[in-house]
Amino acid sequence: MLYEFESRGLLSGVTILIDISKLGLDYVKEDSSGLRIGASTTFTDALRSRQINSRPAFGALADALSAIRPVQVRNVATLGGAICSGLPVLDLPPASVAVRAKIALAGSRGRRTLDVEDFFLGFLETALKRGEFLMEVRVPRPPAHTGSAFQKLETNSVDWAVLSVATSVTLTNDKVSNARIVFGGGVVGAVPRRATEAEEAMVEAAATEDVIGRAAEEASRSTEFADDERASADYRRQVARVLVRESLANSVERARRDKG
Amino acid sequence: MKYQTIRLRVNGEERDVAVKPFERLNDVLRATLLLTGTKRGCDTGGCGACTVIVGGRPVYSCMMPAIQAEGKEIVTIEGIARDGKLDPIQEAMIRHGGIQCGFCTPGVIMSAKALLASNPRPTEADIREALAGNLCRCTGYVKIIEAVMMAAEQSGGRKAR
Repeated sequence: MLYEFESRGLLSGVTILIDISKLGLDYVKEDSSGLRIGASTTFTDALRSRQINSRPAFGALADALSAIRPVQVRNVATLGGAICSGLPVLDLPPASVAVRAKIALAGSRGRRTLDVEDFFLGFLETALKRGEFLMEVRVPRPPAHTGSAFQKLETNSVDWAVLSVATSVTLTNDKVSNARIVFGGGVVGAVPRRATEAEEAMVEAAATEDVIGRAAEEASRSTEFADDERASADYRRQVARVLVRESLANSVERARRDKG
Repeated sequence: MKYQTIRLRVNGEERDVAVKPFERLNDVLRATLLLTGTKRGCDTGGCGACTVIVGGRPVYSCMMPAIQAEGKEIVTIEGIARDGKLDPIQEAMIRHGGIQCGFCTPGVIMSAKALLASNPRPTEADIREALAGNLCRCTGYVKIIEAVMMAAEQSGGRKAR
């Protein structure tokens, strides 16, 4: 990306570049507040971390990280890069919205933390201000019996997804107490978008196949999909129904296994 | 932006090179160090011809700034033969017809090398996954995968499944 900027002349006014990859921000930690993933953690290291793998609640992150192929990319791609590039079409943005991630920024004027939903503003636009950088992605500790998942349809591994979906479900006494359904950006407007009506309709319901099917139906019906060279809006609507259903089913299955 | 001197460890040798901050490892290897075995293909992280091993892991050298490879062991295709003897993967690629035009070959071999270093007895699925980021427009992959399986059997002494 850096080279691409340079070759397009976008770095002509830049005199100093600061490499933050040696600041020790490559870590995955867990404490009482939740998960903390350093900005320069590679996808490979995040995928191998016990903290992410041990909780089905973080399944959406693991799914999204492993959905990036091939291994040569996972070995250099970092969480910070995937979040800060401001490309909401990538897989990590919707997954991070599904798990309610927070974005911890630092800069010359101090530190601040944002909900990831407030971080993505548009295509190549984020809430990052001049002089700020991402320190870590935080995932507040989810309640027990939370499961999350990510799914996408793509024509090949290099292109943007035709559609991507991340979901999370929390069960209380086998009833849904909380649900999130998030579509990846780029095809539902610029930034990831939640299907809030479908989310709300699931709350208090038993997590049955029927309830999941109706939520998927509602999510695909109430969302406006882009009509572009990759797919028609109509096709995306049909794909959405399938992907939301599968992702919710995975989330519920994981929520049942999640011990907190 | 100014040139800065960094020290890279390439194929076991320390090399001081002057680089600009945005310069890619691929350009430094090929144009500065004249290690042209590593190819420059799509330039966008899609074809795998530029694959080298950095810190034990295969990476696209067209996507990595050279400064980020400082302090890590870099291995290119030029660095895997020992005492004039080809690496078992190189031998197997030749013997089993895994090479046609040869442009993808260095990248394929480096991906396979990294795989066998971490997983000496890979399944065919493991090999396919490890080579998924290396495109070959000639062979159709069958011979390449057979070659890597043969190399694994020879160096690991166990039959790959």
